[in-house]
Amino acid sequence: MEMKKLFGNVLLTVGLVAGSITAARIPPMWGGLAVSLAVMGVGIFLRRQGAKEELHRAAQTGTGGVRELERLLSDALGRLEAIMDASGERATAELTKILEELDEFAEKAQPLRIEGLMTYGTIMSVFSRGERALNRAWSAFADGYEEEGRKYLRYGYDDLKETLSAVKALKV
Amino acid sequence: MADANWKLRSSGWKRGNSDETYREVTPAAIILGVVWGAFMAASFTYAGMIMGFTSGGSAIAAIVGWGVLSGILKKGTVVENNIVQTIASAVNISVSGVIFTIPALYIMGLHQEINTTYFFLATAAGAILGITFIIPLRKQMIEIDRLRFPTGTAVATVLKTPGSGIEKARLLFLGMAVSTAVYLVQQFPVLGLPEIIPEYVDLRAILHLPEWVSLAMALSLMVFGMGLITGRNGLIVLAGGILSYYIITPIVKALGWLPSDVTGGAISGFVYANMTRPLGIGMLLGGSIAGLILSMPVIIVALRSIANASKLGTGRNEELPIKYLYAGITLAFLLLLVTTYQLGNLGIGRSLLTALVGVAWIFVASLLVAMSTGMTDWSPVSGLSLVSVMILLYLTGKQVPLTILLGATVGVAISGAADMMQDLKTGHLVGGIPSRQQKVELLTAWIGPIIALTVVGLIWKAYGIGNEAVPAPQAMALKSMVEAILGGNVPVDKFIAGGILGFALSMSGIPGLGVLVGLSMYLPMLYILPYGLGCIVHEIAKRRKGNEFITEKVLPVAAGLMVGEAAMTLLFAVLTVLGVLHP
Repeated sequence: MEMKKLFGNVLLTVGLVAGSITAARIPPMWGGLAVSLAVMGVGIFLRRQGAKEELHRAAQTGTGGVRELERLLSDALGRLEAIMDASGERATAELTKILEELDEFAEKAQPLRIEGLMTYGTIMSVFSRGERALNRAWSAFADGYEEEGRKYLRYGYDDLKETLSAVKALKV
Repeated sequence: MADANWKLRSSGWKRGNSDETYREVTPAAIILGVVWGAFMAASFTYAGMIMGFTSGGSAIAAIVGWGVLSGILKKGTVVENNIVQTIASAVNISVSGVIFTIPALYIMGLHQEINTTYFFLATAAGAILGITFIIPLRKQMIEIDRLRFPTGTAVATVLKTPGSGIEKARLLFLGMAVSTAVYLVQQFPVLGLPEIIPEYVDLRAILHLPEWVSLAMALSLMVFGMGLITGRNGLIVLAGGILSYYIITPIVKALGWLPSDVTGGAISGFVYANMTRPLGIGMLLGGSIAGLILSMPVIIVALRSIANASKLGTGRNEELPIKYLYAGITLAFLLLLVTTYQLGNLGIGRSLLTALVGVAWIFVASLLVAMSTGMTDWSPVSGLSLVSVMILLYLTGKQVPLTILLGATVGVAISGAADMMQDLKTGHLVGGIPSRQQKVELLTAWIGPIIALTVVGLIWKAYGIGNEAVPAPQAMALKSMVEAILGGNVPVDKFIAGGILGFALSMSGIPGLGVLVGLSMYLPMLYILPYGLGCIVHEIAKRRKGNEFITEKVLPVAAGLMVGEAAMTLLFAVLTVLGVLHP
């Protein structure tokens, strides 16, 4: 873990513990609380700086960050193309795996918040709509409604393509 | 077992027709959802007032849905069953808001001061607000922030079981069987049988720890199952609980900050009730306000996305139009205004202020509860009710009847918001269309308040309320809360201090941290321990076996544990209605 982030976490924790103790007193020790908040503030600053540097470093080395997200999406898109005309049973089995990997994408996309919530929100909004479409495709295939399944398979595919374009447009 | 599962799965593949529209919102689903929801609402209203418990009921409805749609009608689908559980939940959810508030009016002898129509108007306003506020919150929390909503995830697992293969179904039923059996055995004393498995175990006594240590653990497989699904966020709750009970408490004791008459086993309870719990409520509020501020760009994206979707005349439009949000807020505001003006004798200006602040507070409270529920599966409704009553007493000039009535609005709204968010998470995971789910919620949510209020009225006429036959523990708690506030005994300083801390924590870059820590101080350790244990098992399994193991093995078992106990809760509610069980 980035040293700044680690040190920030430590200060945040220390500040929280001290702040909680001073606040718990009847009545609260406002002076002690103020000092604790100052410590927490420094910890928050360091933590945020460390997280941002960590994200940038991961992007530069290709071990994570945006490149990893691109890889996950590209892989999912490739697998979706392979099942566009597959049987319902095979599509269901494959979609189960794809959806698990998409959940991984969502988890790894969280650090993008640092680059701006508006951008993050836009990306995740499109991504989640695509994920929901693929969930519907899974349900439709499982219930034997292949036409509905293929319809939403295409919707999900298109949304993930749009998500991939948005991720590639990031300047991380 | 295997043969039954095979048949269930096999029929799924044969059932569909490529030319047939995919069944989702059907008459059968609507009727079944309403009927089952009404049954649960009536049962839980009655049981809640006598035994003190309620339940959301989504998981049970999902099981019943499969049984009726696929088992009897032979034509159910995953998303159709999702509509069943959505409607049943929408009808049932107002119960907790009603029984926490309205019976208090009866207990205090104030119910005759209010026309029954206003009971319905207030609670209906709450139901409307709960639904409409989650229109943007759904997009924000489920699609963008990706909150887990453990119960919603569990219900989705139930809904998808028939198409997920034999192994998952087997694991689900195993979880259900174990949870059901343990719960039944735990209830032996209620049935007049000897105790075999206790409801909780006192680890403090077993480990011979000092009396001030609070280390009792509830033996609840449902709570353990919640932790199994929650994972990482729950570890923060566990850590916060450790901070609260095993760091703050002994330090406060050592520093001599306790009254001299608080000694021994009373120390932990005193610190919890007077120090850490109020602090936790404050943290929840501060954390949610910070979350709201931080999430504003995301909420803007959500609203913009919904608005854009509404403009598209063709193609794929699955969002509930934003006009529903505006219409819902306006309607609820007017309902609150009429109620306040007619009952409060406050004048038009003060009534407007009360209604306006009421709506704004409900939004903040709904956001808090939805965030908390989404991250951990815990909904701090009673804590928020305390703050709500405090605010409302101030706005209404300490008019208790009107305050409690408006408190019902808040209670129904925030309970509804949390539970419906769970249902919408379920919908996301099975591919339900959000606009359809939300429309059926709007269509049916008003039914619950009528049922709950009717049952309360009938109980009053038959037995009275607030006595040995009908103790109404939650309403009694509210009565005590009101009396404490009127007596000036409110830890406002703790709320403020906690609010500041919670606000700071949520600025740390860890989403919702203030809410998580606040929740850990708010909850009793009795439940944090089994919950935290489930979270630990989740994380260990994830690290050792990977995400696939979580999805394929852990989730079905956890869902089963939750469903089993929830089903038993309903069974005991019915037994209470039938008079078999007594307090």
